[in-house]
Amino acid sequence: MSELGRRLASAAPDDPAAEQRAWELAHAAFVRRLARSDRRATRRRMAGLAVVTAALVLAAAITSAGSVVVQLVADRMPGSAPPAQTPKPQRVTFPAGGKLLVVRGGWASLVRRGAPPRRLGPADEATFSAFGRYVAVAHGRRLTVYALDGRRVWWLAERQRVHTVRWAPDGLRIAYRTGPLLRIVDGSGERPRTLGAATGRAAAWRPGADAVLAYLRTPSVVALVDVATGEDVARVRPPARTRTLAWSPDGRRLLAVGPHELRLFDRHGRSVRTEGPPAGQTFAAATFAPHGHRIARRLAPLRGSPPVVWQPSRTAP
Amino acid sequence: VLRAAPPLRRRDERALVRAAQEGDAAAFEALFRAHWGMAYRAAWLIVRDRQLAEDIAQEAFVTAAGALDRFDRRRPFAPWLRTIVARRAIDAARALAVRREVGEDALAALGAPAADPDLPDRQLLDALAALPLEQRAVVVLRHLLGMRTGEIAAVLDLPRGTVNSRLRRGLDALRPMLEERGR
Repeated sequence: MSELGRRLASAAPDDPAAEQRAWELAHAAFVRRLARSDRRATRRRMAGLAVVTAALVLAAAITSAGSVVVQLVADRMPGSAPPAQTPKPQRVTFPAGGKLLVVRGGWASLVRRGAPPRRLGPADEATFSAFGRYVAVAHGRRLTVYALDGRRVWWLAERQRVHTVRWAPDGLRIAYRTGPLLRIVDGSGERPRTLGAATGRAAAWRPGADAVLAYLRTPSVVALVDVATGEDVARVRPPARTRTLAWSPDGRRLLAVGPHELRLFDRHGRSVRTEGPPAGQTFAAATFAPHGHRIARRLAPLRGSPPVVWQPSRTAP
Repeated sequence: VLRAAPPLRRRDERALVRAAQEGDAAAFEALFRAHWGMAYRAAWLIVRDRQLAEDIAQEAFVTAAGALDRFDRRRPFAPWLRTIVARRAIDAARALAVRREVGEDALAALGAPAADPDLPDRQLLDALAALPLEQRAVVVLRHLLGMRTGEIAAVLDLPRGTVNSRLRRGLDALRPMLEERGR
């Protein structure tokens, strides 16, 4: 805005009462529009639900689900052939009373059955806290933590974009990427500090109370770091172009997923199993089932390729 | 005096428009709060009447609420709303002039801001109010609403050259106020 524009904006009067009156009328017009286009809106919401469902399936395949339980019903047994031409539809079940965290259209919202979505704020990505009481949201250069009622609890700003936000299972720390760094901040928003250099978007806290984080330090090194001491527990060589890291629920296995290989490590960093994708396909994502004995994997290209369940011969020693 | 909502980033605004189109009243309210101040001030600067400015800005948002379904969400929301406000303000100002029921002498006093004695930068406001409507509107659309010459030309149904000449004449008339502030 020009200097003249700023002066005019400052000099022209403001009228909060007029604003409130106008809002009431505009809101009434908005509600009338909704009533008129109710049927169209219903169709749009159904389409939106389909998009959300697809996002959930993908999220279930590539991230730790936090307090969200998503059950993939796929009748694919270990060693079975790739999906047939007409794959069976999958069901996504929302547990009663649970809240679902959805990032869609640049906003994070909480969804639960029988209630309108609660919008939290603009978001590039979001994750629940360890016990599902808070939500950490990355948006641009900001990391913001919201309470479930939508209240902003704290936020911090970095010099570069924040992404790859991971809340530790003990709830005490949050790891996130910004620029070439991996940073840690207390769950209370205090003591943001740099853990070290990092690359990519692969990072995962080991389940348990020992605060071990696995992350991609360089394209060819996954570091397992005790965040409390800053010392490396182990370093492992992941598959090329690793995009996902996931721990088994018991913390005894680490899964690294690259497009052309799944590689399973034990807690000391020893490779215990590898798997390639079916001919002509690549891995897009994978994660452990809640009991830890199966791994859901998503094959690319996504279209026409539903998630299938892969069961390694042994995931436990 | 300036009580403006923080400006929305383009991406945030697009997300709000999408959500509002899908029925999210909170998203529509966020759009309303973000743009109300500028819409009201622009209308006031053109018509110089609080009640009329309120009506103009109010109608613009009512129109926007009813037309959200037809709005192309790939386009920015602010210029669309500014165009609605500008058209209504200019129509209202022209209607005021057409409905005059007093002589020319009395009309000259219409620009005087007698009802707003406590406004800051009063001299600038008075100088702007003294401009003919054609020049005043162009200055407000350009400098307060940030509209480009082509957009103003479309709103006023004028050639670009005419818009530029009216803008130049309007700024020339305001120059003493601007230079006085700069000294």
